[in-house]
Formats: sequence, structure tokens, C-alpha cells
Amino acid sequence: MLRKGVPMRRTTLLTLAVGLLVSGAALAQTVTIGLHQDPPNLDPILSQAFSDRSVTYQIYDRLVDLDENLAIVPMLATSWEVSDDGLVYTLQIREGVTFHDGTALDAEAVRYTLDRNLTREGSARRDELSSIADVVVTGPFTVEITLRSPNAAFLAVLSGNAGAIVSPTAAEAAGADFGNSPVGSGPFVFHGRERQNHVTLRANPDYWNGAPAIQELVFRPFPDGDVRVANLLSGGADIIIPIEPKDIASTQAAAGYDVVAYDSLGWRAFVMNLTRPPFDDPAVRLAVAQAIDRAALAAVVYDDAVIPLIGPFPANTPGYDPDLEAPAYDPEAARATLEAAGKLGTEFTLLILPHEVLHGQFWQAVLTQVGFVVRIEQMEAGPYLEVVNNLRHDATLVGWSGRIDPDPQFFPFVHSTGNLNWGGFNDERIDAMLESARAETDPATREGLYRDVARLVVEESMIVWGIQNQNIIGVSERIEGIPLIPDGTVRWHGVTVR
Amino acid sequence: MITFALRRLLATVPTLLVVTLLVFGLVRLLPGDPARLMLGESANPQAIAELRTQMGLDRPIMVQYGAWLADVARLDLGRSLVDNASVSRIIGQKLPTTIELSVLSMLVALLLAVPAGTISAVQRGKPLDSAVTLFALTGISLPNFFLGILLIFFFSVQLRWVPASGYVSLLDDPVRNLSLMVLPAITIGVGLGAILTRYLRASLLETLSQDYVRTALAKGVPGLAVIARHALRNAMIPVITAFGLQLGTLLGGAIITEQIFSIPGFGRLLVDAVSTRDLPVIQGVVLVAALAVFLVSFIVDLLYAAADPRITYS
Amino acid sequence: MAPTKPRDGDRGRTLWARGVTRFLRNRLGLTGLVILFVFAALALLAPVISPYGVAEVNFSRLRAPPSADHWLGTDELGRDTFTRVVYGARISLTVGLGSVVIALFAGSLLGMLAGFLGGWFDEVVMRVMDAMLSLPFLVLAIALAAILGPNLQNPILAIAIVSTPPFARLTRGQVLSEKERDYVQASAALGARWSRTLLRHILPNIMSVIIVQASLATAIAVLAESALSFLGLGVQPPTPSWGSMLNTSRGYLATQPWMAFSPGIAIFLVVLALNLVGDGLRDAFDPRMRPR
Repeated sequence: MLRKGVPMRRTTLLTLAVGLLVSGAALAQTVTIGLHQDPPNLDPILSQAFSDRSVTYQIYDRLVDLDENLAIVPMLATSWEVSDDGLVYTLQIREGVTFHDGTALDAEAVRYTLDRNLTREGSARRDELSSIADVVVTGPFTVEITLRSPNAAFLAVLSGNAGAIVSPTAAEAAGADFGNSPVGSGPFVFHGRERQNHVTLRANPDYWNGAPAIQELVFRPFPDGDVRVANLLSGGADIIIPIEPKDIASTQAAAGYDVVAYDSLGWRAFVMNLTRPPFDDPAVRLAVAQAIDRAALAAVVYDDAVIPLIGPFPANTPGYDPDLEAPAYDPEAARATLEAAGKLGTEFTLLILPHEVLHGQFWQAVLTQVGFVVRIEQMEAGPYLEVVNNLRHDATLVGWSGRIDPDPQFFPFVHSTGNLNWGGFNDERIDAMLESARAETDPATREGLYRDVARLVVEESMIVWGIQNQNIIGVSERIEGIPLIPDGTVRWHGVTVR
Repeated sequence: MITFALRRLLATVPTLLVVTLLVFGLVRLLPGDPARLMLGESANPQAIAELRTQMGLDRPIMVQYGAWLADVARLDLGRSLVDNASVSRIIGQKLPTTIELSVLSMLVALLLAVPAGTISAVQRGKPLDSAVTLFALTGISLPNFFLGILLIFFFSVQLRWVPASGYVSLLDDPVRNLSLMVLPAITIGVGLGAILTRYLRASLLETLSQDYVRTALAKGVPGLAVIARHALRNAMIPVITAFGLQLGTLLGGAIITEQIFSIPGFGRLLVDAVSTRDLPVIQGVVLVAALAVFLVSFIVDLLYAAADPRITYS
Repeated sequence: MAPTKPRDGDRGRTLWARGVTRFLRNRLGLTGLVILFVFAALALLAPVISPYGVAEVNFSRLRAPPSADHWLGTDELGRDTFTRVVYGARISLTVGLGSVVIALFAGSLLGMLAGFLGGWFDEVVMRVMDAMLSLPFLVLAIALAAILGPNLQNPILAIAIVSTPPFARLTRGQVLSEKERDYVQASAALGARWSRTLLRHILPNIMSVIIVQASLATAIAVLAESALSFLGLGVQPPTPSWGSMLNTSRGYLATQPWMAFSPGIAIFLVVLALNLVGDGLRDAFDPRMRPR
């Protein structure tokens, strides 16, 4: 049960997914969900936005799912076995599941989906599944996946879009247009959408885990935070994901509404381009690390809806190191560092995405005070990616939604081949440690390796982490049973409305 | 009348062509190669060259213009860079919303302007006239986004009378649709109404000084009847003309208002396309807007001619 | 001795003198002028009169209400709102005046040449001007500003481009009616170069009309600049502009509504003042155009 009026404490909740029947059938309802953007892509191979998941996790089942403690639980894969060398995964697929178009879900559908993820033109899932060498159907409901090299993070990947199983019949028929008419086996069926207006899903009465209590889900985009919360408070939406920090107080004060904050995997950091001046100089980077007051950052920019963070692994996630230390906040020391290095007055451009304007101005103000000269440049997502992927920036602010396993959480940013390596990392030590961690089967050793890499990066201030996110939602108190899973996506199957 | 209309139409064709030329050139202003923009800097040169040929970018500029014009004539405005949807279809979906908003705004404007302009003209020189004039000046000086914000603040946040934003189709839920359109329509309508008030006042003063009006008054016809039956009708003619010319203002107001109130209309489409640099959509929106203004001006011209026989055959 | 009737060609200069006197007696127009002077002074003296730095943050005084220390309160980073409003005046007035000055010169030049020379030049120029007038003002300004990129100069250019056609049309119309007048015919008969006729004689006579249009155009330009920066297409943070300050205030409407009032009222006052001055000038210089 969601607790009323509890300010900002983490609320744990047991998932009511298993065994919840349509007991509240008399309360046939529509739940309107306010998102921060119109989900761009509902095809799992194209989806890259966080907002997509709000919808796709209802349409498609995944091979495995997560619980609130980030443990992997069965979903379409009822059980699995891993060979001793860590290379072969044998999955048992649930029987009796049908897609929304009536076709049966079997091992072949799983093989088709994984193949589609790997081979389709422009698939965003290729990187995540790059360790797969082969997928073989060894029985009507058995799939054997062989990896190129052991990858401890593999199962975690299958809990995301990479493991979302699509209907082969529908996918073949729709081709590139599948995203506009998605067909999965999930608790909700795609009913229709109008861009920038709504995406509507209807309950799947034949869902293998019992039909959902909610009849209809309507997702509406409200890019403006104040419009979003206004709709919540006026009944235009029953829940908003996320709620802006500045609206937390007024929403909690409003009768009938609640704000729920829970653990998230994500963080925000100041990422510098290490391949060229000024941030190729460790002294300059140290000055940045000494200049930042994380408590002030959390308070000023995020109204204390976030928590200061000094490393890549948020508290309560694997890899988190309570003993990790970063340079202390000391503006005078920062200025002294710059002076000693002869770099007082260093100029650079801070590249940001449009929604980070306040965040960017904060860093600009803080760094200006210690002797930098900072110019802010805003860029839309498309051109932004062009610049950072090609290391043509000085520094940028990165907001990362987070991954469950430490490997996808950290590897992409600091490994020389990482696809989010916007710092230009090319450090043999880091590469070696990350690669052995990937193949390491002993959890303790593995964790140790990640902590070592984190320590290295933080000691040399190669990335300066600022804060860890929290998932914060504003919700009507009539909604009950929302699972608080740290990946930030609400699974609506077991949720009821009073 | 028909010949007149046709002749006027023919006369406007050159201007129309220049409009299309301007819109076509507008997007070409962007530095850099559209094909590179689409594929990304890291794409290999051969892929870029192929896409250029496919997009027809290697042909002479006038040929490109011709091809684009032919597409436009077939109502093909290209495809969005963001989600590959047909631009014409997107515009077709969003346009009715903005049309509804425009119509409601015009209603608000008229509801404000007709009484205000009439009172002001009839009470010329007296305090009521100054009051109305000041209100009209305030109306045109107040930025409509500021007014929108103030309206949200008072009526949605403080009083909770209407929801702050969002949109429901008129066909789905007329009551909610209208309640959501009230504040946006007022936001646009006030500015428009202020402009029209000034026009109406000037026009009405002119009409009231005409001989036939003086005669009617002298004959003892009650003042109100005179105004309503004679003066107002004739005074409205220049106002209707002004109306037509204000379509541009309406569209401009719609852009910002739709942004503030989260209405998924035509204006909002422009803002979204601008933020994603979706050039085909930007181009399509500007073109359709220009054509709309053009069309309305043309119709207003004809109506003006129809209403006032003196100018038809000039 | 009876005062000599001013020669037709010198009509402009005496019209000026009479017009200016008449304007100075118009109370509303004068009020507008005073308001404009105040804002211009604020803008020019910004560094001197600002109690704080324009980018001076203060994390312990976020979004504070108006007080003795901060006359208009503080913003989301603790910066003094009064200071930022005063600096914002620089942006609004620079863009507003800058774009109109460009449009005035470009438009008037085109209009005068078109009206005076006639022929194909007139046809072409007027077609282009008509076409541009078909493109809705804000739509075109937004599209241009977006394509050119957000900074200080591009909105000036975008608004200037969109504001040129009205000047061109107006000037052309005026030149056409002046062309028929005796002094122009006489001048041509005497063999004066057309450029001389245009500049020394016609221009002063139509100046008043252009000035009226200029003040009204500036009002529109200031509104357009604030609209563009409201949409994020103008100067970039941390440089303050009234439009972007208004946009930021939307998020805090429920809790700190005063953040919206300062920039909003500032825009309103400047635009009102420009409209008052424009109306006043129109009343003063051309009684025929007066709404009476």
C-alpha cells in the first residue's frame, strides 16, 4: 500500500502480480498516465527512450523480469541453466502463452526475436546482445543461447527491451512499421495512438498470468512539468512519471494525492573530454572535482529529490562502494589547484541538452567562482549525439537512467570500445579490469574489480559524478499496488484502482 | 462576379509562386548537407552520396524546386525526419485542432470587440471611450504568453475552475474539450479583440457621420436601431477585412498558446519540429500557413467586393 | 505681413515642427515617451545601477520573494531579479530597435525605389513583399530563428526580415502619391537627378509616416523578441532575457508567482509605451489618419 503523506522516504512494496485476479472487476477503469514525452518508438529494436518502456513493458513480456531488490525472476523463461563454462544458457519457455494476434508463443518466437534484435537494420539492441554467438531451438519450448565469451550480465540484459518477445507473424507482416502496430504477449494490448496526444492500451483478457484489473491505459505526453502536475491535480492524469522536484511539496499537500520516491539506478555526472585541452590535464579536472558542492547541487537544481553521488554505482546497487572517496568540496583549494597549474581563467564550453538548462547554469556558476570561464551551449538530441560521439566537445552533462548489472552500468562509459565513451577513455588498466569482470563468475571477485575501476576513475577525476537519481512519481491515492522496481518502469499488471 | 474572381485569382498566381519559392529556399538556408544531417557525420561517403541521389540533391536547384512543387501539388509534403510519418498526414491531424481554437478565439474577439468598439464610438470623447481605448491598448501590448500564464495562475491553479491544459477531441468529449479550450481561446482572443476594437471604432465613427445615418436619426429612428441595423453592418466591412488580415496574428498566437496549454495543434507542431530540426515538417507547416493566409486574404477580397459594389469593377 | 504659405516641397519641414509640438501636447504619447526613456536609461546604466552581478548566484536565497535586499526577489539560482530585468531591457531594446532600424532602411529603400522607378523592378519587389506578407509574422520569425540558430544576432535578423515588407509597402505607397505632386514634376522638368529628388524632397515629406510605422513596428519587434526567447530561440543562459525569464517562471507559478510578474510587466510596459508613442505620433503628424 502506498503510504500517505510520507515525505520522501523510500517505500517498499511487494509485487502483487502473481495470482491477482479480476476481483475488482466491477471497477472497470481507465488509468491515465502522464509521461514527460511522447514515446518515440514502440518497436523493441528501435526503442531507446525511457518513456518507451512505460508502454512496451505492458505490451511485451520479457524473458525475465526484476523484482524490487533487482533480483532476476522468471517471466517468459520459467527456468534456466547455465553451463559450467558460462557460455551456454538453456531457457525453458512458458507454455500456453499466446500473442495478441492469437498466434502461439514458443521457442521459435524467442529465437526469431533474438535474431531480429541482432540482425535488423538499425537495431539498438545489437550492442547489448553482442556477446551472443548463436541461438538454437532445441525443443518446442526450449532455447539454447551460446555466448562468445562468458558474460555475467547476460541475464540482466534479457530483463529489458532486448528480451521483449514479439510476435513473429506480426513482425514479419509489418516490417519496418511494426512500431506503429506492436504485437506482444503482455497484459495489455495496443489499441491505438495519436502522436503527441495519446497511446492507448486495452487489457488482455487472456493474459497467462490473469487478466489485469485495469481495463484501459492511456499514456499522455506532458513535456512541461508544470502542465504535467496540473493535470494530475485536476484529474487529467491519475499518475505522472516523473514529477518535477519543485512540485513535490504542493502535490503531497493536495488531498487525495501522494508522491512516492524510490531507488533508481540512474545518475548525473560532469563528463569531460580527456583527449584534448583543457581536460587532458589532471590538475584542471581535480579543480572541477574540488569545486562541486553536491549537497548544493541536489538542493538548488533538484529540490533535494536526488542524493549526492561520487561514483558510478548508486547506493543499493551492485558495485556500490561505501568506502569510495572523492576530492572534498573546497572552492579555495580548487582555485589554488588551477593557479598552481597555471590554468586560472581556463575557458571551455559546456554542452548540454535543452532540459538541463538549470543544471548547466549551476555548474557554470560554480566553476566560474573558482576561476574557470564557462560558456553554455544547448543542443538537441540528434546534433548532440553527433558531437559527443565524435569527441568534439569540451565537457558535457550526462544523465544516465542506469542498468541493473554493473557491467552495462559502467562499461559503456569508460571502456575504450564503450558506445557511450564520451570522455574518450583509452586506458589499458581500465579495459583489462572491465573485461575480466565481465567474464568473472565469482560475485565477490567481480564486485571487487568494479570497485577498483571506480576508484581509479574517481581518484584521477576522469569523470565527476554529481548525484544519483530517485524515481519519483506523483499519483492519485486511489491507485494501489504499484511495484517499485528501481529500473523506474511501472508494471501495470497487478495494479488496482479503488 | 465569377470573371472578377478568376481575374483576381490569376493576378495572385505570381505572388503565390514567389511564396512557394521563399518556403523552398527557407529550408535550404541551413548550412550543411541534408543527406549528411540525416545519416550522421560518421556515415561512409558512399552512403551519403547514394542518399543525395535518392533525395535528388544532385540535380540543379531549379529542377529540385520543380519536383518539390509537383509533390506539393499532389499534397505530398515529404516525410518527417523523426518518425518517417507523412507530413501531410500529420498536418491533417493537427490542423482541425488549431482551426477549432482559431474559431473560438475569433468568437471571443468578436464578443469583446463589437460591444467595446460600439460603446467607444458612440461615447466618443467621453470617459467610457478613454476607458475602452486604454483597455484596447492594454490588450495589444500585453504579450499573449503572459496573459496565458496569468489565466492559468488564476483560473487553474488558484480557483481550480478549469484544468490547466491538455486536449480531448471535440468528437470524444465536447464538454471537456470546450472547458479545456476556454482559457486558450481567451488568451488569443483578447489580443485579437483589442485590435478589432480599434478598427471597429474608427470604422463606426466614419459610418456614423454619414448622411444616411444622420437622416435616420433626424427622422426619429431610435439610436440603437440605427446602430444595429445600419451603421454596424456597414462598419463591419472593413473590420471583416481586418479579420482576414489578422489570420497571421491568430496563427502566431496559436503557436505560443498551444505550447503553454499543451494543445497538440498545428502551432505546437512548428515548435516541436523546430526543436528537433525536422526540416520537412517545418517546411510543410510554413507552406500550409502561408497558403492559409493567402486563401483567406483572397476570400476576404471577394467578400469585400461582393459587399461593396463600388469596387468590383475597378 | 501675412505669414508666407510654405512651399509645397518644404511642406515636410514645417509639418515636422508642427507635428512635434502637437505630439508634446499629447499626454498619453508623452507618458509613453517617458516610460521608454526610463527603460532606455535602465538599460544603458545597467552595470552602474544593478545592486548585484547579473550572473551572481546565491544558493541560500533561491526564489525569494521581493524584499529590501532584492527589490523584485530572486530567481531559481538565487540571482537578483531586478538586476536581471534591467539587463534584460538591454536585450529587448537592442533586438527591438536593431531589427526595426534594419527593416526601416531596407524596406524604405526598396519601397522608395520601387515606387519611384516603377516598371519591372516595382513588379518584382512588390511580388516578393506580398509573398513575404503572406507568411505569418511569428511563423516565419520562428522558422528563421530556428534555422539560423539561437543567439543574440539571429533574432535581430529574423525579425528584421519579417518586418521589412510593411515598410516597403508603406514607403512605396507614399512615394506614389508624392510623385504626382507639383514639386516633383517641377524638379524633374528642371532636370534634377532622380536620386536628388528622392532624397532631398520626397523623403522629408514621407518621413513622418515612416516614423509612425517605425514606432509601431518596434512594439511588434519587442513582442516578437520576447516570444522567440520564450521559446528558447534567443539569447542563451545565463544572459537574461524577459521572454526566457517568463518561460522559466511557468514552472514555479503555484509557489512563486512573482517570478512571472516582473518580466511580464516589463514587456508589457515597454510595448505599451511604444504603442502610446506610435499612436501619439500618428495623431500629431497626420490628422487625416487620426481615428478621431
